[in-house]
Amino acid sequence: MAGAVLLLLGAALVAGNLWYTAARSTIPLAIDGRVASREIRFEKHPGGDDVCLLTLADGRVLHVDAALFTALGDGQSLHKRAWERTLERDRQSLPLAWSADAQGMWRTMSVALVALIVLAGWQWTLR
Amino acid sequence: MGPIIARSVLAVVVAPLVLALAYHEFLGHRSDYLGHYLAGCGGTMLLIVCVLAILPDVLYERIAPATIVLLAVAAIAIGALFESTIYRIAKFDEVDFCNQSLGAVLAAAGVLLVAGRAKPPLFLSSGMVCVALGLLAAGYHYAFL
Repeated sequence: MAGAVLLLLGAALVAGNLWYTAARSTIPLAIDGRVASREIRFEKHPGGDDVCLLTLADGRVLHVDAALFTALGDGQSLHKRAWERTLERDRQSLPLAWSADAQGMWRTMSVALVALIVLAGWQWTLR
Repeated sequence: MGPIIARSVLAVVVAPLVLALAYHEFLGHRSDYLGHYLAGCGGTMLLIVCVLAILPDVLYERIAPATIVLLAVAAIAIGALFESTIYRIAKFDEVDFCNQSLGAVLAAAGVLLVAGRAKPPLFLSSGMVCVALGLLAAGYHYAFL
C-alpha cells in the first residue's frame, strides 16, 4: 500500500514536470489576447534559468521559454488554439518548437518513472 | 546480512544516482533542476531515517510504512514552503517544486525497501545518513554554485 501511494505521488510529479516544461513552449495552451507587458526575472544562474513572463491584457501571466520571449514584443496580438504548433502574432505565423528543457524532461522523466515502478514492484515482492 | 546491504545500496544509492545521471545527461544545461532533485532526495532521506530511529520497536513494523509515506508528504510540504518563501527568487517555480518533490518520493521509496518492515541496524541507518548528507551537499552545489 505504501509503495503504491509513493508510486502514484511520483507519477503525479512526473506529469507535473512534463506539463510545466511543455506549457512554457505555449504549444499545449490556448491563447487569445494582447501582450500588455514582458518581464525577465533573474534566478540563481542569470542567463541560464531566467524566468521570462508575458502578461496579457486580460491579466493572464504566461511563463514562457526564452526563445519565444525574445520573438515577441509589447502590444502584439497573440492567438492560437491548444496544441497548435504555430502562434499567430499580429496575424503573422510564428512556428513553435519544444524547448531543450521540454525534450530533456521527457527523457529524464522516463527514467524517473522506470525507477519508481522498479522500487514499487520490488516493494510489492517483499510483502 | 548480505541481502539487506545489497538491497540498501540499490534502493538508496543506485536508484537515486541513476536518476541524477539522467538529469545530468538530458538536462545538463539546467543544473538547478538536478540540484533541486538531489536536495529533495537528501533532505527527505535524512528526515525519514532520523524519525524512524526514534520509533518504538514494539510499534515499528505496524507504523513504519505509513510513517515513511507521511514524512515524504511532510517533506514535500516543507519544500513547497521553502520554494514560496526563502527560495522564492524570481517566482514560485513549479518545475523546481516538482523536481525536489520527486527526489523526496524516490528517497521515501528507497528507504521503504530498506526499513519498511524492520528497524534497520545502526550501521545501515548511519550509512543512509551519510548518503543523505552527500545528496544534500551535491544538491546545494548544483542548485546554487
